[in-house]
Amino acid sequence: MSTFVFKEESLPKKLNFGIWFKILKYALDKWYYMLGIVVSLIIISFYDSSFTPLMNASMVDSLRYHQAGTELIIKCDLIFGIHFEVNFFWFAIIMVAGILLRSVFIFINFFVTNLLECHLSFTLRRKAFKRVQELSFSYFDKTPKGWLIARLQSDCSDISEMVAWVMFNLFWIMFDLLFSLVSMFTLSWKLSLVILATTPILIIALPLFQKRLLKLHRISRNAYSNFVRWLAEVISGSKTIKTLAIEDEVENEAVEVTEDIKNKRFKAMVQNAYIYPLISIMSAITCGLIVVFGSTIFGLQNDVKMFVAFIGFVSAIYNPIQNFSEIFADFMANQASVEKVLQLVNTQPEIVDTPEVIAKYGTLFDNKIENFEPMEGDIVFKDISFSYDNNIEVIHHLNLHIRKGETVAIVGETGSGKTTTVNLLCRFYEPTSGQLLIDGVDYKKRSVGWIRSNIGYVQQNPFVFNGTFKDNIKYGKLNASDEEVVAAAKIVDIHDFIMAQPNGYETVLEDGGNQLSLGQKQLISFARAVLRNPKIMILDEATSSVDTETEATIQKAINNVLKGRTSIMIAHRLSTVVDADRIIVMSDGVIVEEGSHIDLINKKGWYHHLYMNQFKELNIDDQIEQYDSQIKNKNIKL
Amino acid sequence: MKKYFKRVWDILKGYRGAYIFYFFLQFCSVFIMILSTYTAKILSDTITKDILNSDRLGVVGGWVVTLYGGAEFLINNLWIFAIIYIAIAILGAGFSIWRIVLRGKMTTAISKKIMMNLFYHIERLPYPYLKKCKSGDIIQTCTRDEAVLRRFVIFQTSQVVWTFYIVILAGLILFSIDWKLALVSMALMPVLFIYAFFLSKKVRKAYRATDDSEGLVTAKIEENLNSVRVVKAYNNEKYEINAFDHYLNDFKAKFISWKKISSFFSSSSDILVFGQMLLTMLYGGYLTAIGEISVGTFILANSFSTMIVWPLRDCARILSDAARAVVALDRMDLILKEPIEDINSGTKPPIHGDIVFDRTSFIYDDGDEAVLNDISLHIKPGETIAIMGKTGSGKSTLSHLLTRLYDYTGGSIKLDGVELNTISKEWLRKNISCVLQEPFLFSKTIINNIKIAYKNVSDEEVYKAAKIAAIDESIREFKDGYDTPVGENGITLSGGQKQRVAIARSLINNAPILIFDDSLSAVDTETDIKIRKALAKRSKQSTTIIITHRVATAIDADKIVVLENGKISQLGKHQDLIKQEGLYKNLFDIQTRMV
Repeated sequence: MSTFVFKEESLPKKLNFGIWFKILKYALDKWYYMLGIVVSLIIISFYDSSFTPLMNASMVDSLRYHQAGTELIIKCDLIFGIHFEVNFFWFAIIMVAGILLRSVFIFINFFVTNLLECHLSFTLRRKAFKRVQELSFSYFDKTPKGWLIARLQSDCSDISEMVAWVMFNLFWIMFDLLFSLVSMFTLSWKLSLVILATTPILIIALPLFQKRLLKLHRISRNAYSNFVRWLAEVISGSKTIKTLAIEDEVENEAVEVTEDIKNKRFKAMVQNAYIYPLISIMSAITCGLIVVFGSTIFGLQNDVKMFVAFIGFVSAIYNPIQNFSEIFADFMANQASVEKVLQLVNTQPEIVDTPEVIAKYGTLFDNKIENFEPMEGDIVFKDISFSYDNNIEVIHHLNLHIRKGETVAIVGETGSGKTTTVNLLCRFYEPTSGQLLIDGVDYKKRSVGWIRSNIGYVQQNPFVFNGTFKDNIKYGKLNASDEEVVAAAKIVDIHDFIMAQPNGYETVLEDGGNQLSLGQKQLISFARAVLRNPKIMILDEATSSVDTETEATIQKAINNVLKGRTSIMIAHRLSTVVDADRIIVMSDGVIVEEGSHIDLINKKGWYHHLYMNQFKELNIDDQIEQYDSQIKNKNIKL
Repeated sequence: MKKYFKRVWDILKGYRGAYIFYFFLQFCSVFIMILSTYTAKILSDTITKDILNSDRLGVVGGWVVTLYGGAEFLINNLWIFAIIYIAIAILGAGFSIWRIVLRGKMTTAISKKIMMNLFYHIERLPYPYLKKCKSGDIIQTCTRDEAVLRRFVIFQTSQVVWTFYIVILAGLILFSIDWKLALVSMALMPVLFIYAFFLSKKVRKAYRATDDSEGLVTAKIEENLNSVRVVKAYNNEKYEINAFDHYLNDFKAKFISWKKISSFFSSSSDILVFGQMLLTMLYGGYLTAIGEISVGTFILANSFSTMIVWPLRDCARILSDAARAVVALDRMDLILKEPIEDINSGTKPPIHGDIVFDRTSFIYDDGDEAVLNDISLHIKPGETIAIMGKTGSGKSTLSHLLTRLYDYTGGSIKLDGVELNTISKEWLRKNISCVLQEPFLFSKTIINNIKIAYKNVSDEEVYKAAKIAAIDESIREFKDGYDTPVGENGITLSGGQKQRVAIARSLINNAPILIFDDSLSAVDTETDIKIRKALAKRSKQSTTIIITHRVATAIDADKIVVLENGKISQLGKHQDLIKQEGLYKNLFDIQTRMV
């Protein structure tokens, strides 16, 4: 039953240097880090690729011609014609000093490279996060949450790590090569040419090889993530698997999935098996050539120093080439992430205030509250039409006047446009045509901050932040005093519950308030909204996800919350709306019915139909309860 | 400690020979590497003509020189070293390829084995256990813990062994030449090892703090994305950025202090590494200068020190991290120790669908009140019975008991005269088709979902079942019809559609007993009627148990059972029950009026 569908991440066809330079710009903010890296690398490379091999060679040479019984004098020949002679003691001192110096620079080097990585990931994450705060709702409709998390989290850190260390490696390779070449040529340009003659094969073959390796690794990683996905599915479907008694079938699948990983991983691993032996044969051949050419044509058959040094130089040249091909693979592997992160950072929000509005009222991040006009709460939808991105109109010529202090409920099937209507009011979206007037003024003439500072908004799934009860309530008004917080909690009747907690208002809610019931969470979000003392209160399906028992508690809170404000309730579950001043029934983006619960039930139209349909879905307890409270006790005759 | 070695040895079962042979190949590779280094010494000695001084050459040197054709021959034919180098490299390459391929085979196979062992077990864990545990933890164990263990058993162990081989071989050769030189060439190594061992523990601690802090950053990101609506509605964007900065700054501070320690670790242990290399060089140089060893030996000692120090440092780091593998192993054992459900043993009597509950009760392990209490009920083969009751009345527990997801704790249930808890669970579940309240479909095509339990049924039977479940038409409307994939990589079905596919799936084998656990209520009333009518028309009537809250669904049942607080409060046909005062009549009144 091979029905596993792979969505393979593909590799870029070629490197796009443009986007890499854009990332590099962030690194250049800290040019002194870069400078630190470069300077310390020059010193380290000099030590590793020139100083040590040449000092060793000098030592070998001096020992070679040393006569036992005399003092050992080491003739040191370094690059750039530096030449000195020291005795054994001073040689040791110089070498120890070299080691200590190198170690100091290694510390500086690693540390500064890490600082650079840290700077990059900090900058990228912060920029991306800030951009996410600015973006409009339409963006979140189109972009899955998982995608954003991947960008903000793993991509940002992968890119920073890679850029910082690739930079580090590139410089290191460059300087290593440079110093090795200079040292080599200083010793013997002929033997140097022998080594260089063999490198083109590696320079061409290794990147190709790396690319293939990368591809194989991707394939095996995809197989693995397929396994993880499959495993998660099987675990969440365990009840079904048991009741169907299909353990054996599922196990066959397990064999299939794990076998798939096994094969693909093996392929990638075997690919690895051939590269290092290949390089070692290549370098053996080069060593062989050095021995042959050195001992015959170049007449170095007595020069131990040359042989020792040049056999060392083979790997000094080969290793950087190999490292370079790995860097090439790094670029390939990370290019897609860089593209996506830059795409996020460069996305422009759709809803922005005009420059004049910003001048007067400030931006989202910096509201000029002193210029905000007080709001009354009179709302007029004037011939509003709206379509989302795909140009299919979902609200058609909506005209609606909600008076100050009125409680209006909007009901309708899924897709009828009721949520869109409040989204427009909150200015999460803007009307495609028509005007939304608040207190008689088009709300686009006031800032986004102005409207939102006057709105209390309670959504279907109450959101509890990691923090204390107090933090959570205060989220509605960041500068509220403790007394205000308590007062808000009392209004929605959650105060006693909070006080019963071990630390009262300071009790920390973890894991999104897991220890609370849905109803309690919803009460907290009510308290949050009340604390704002908003002119307009919006309940967006605020009771849809709680059971009916909790609904009764919440209903009480709702009645307290709505007092004295313009309120709009959207409800899928109609039990919440029966007491509203006015019920508006929407269907396909237009208003089809208006009136009170009793009127509309008696009318036997849209509302009646919706109500009855919903009733059927209720479980037994709720049916009895609802029938009594909403039909029998209201003296409605069916 | 011994316990863990034994566990690892168990895991290696089936691959033990390969595992040991792998270490042999590793020895060959190290041997060749040492030989290659030794060849450089011989080359130097040949050039300096030291090779003629058989005293200084030592035993090992004597062998190698003889192997290469004798001293005189080498001196006169220096080019022969080119051949030797290449020959050694080819030999080395051969072993290396062999070794890595074997390692690849072993790693992937052992990894598969660990995953399968875990999976086999997890899948057979009893339902009450699975219901309680967090699926994230299980997945972690199957993925991260498996990887930690695999890496330790193969890669890290082999790196330690590799270093061990180098130390032994290089040490032996140096000792055979000059014991003082050998001692000095390894003098700093214990210090390096101990230093690296303890300092890398510190580094890891700092890393963990960083990792935790990064976890908080991630949590904040997730929280922010989950609360987009609230953030925007309350205009708290700036507050969010500040909060994010707070976490980010903490992370930055932790990251920097981690890196400070790790950079210090690298640079300070570098002093020991290079110090050892220098020590060898100076002492070797001294010995060479006084004429005790040849230049070739001097070069050899230098190369050996270099060959040992770097892997030794890594080795210390690996060993100091061995605790992780132990933790991973413990977590695996935690799952593997949990007793699994035995679905096979028990009798396999023919099942016709005659069910007798006799004073059956059920109470949860950790519960203090009976969920079902003293239930007595006889359901005859082919009968349709409806069970109604409020939330928590125990109606779903009945289906759990019949499929033995839970075993009843009091009284008895007899299926065709056989005590239910003596019947094999697998046999029972194959004969009782149960449609759960929350339908679960796998990420496969629709047809494969329907015939998941019976792969060999014909497509016609699938269509037939789908028709009864009133989903055939909807499926055919999809572009790919029955071959449409559902779930993550396919289309999203509505709740009702999913439920109907699940119903079709349970009809496929004409099981003698059919349970709808509140699942008919998920489809609309008209479809519900259609499905029940189609079911009634089937040639061989199954015993059908319908758990529902809809009177309309129960109305045609042969018997209607009303459960209240775990007890049967009313029992009878629709006509009888509407004449009695009680929950059923009450519901009937409301529901007929409201619809």
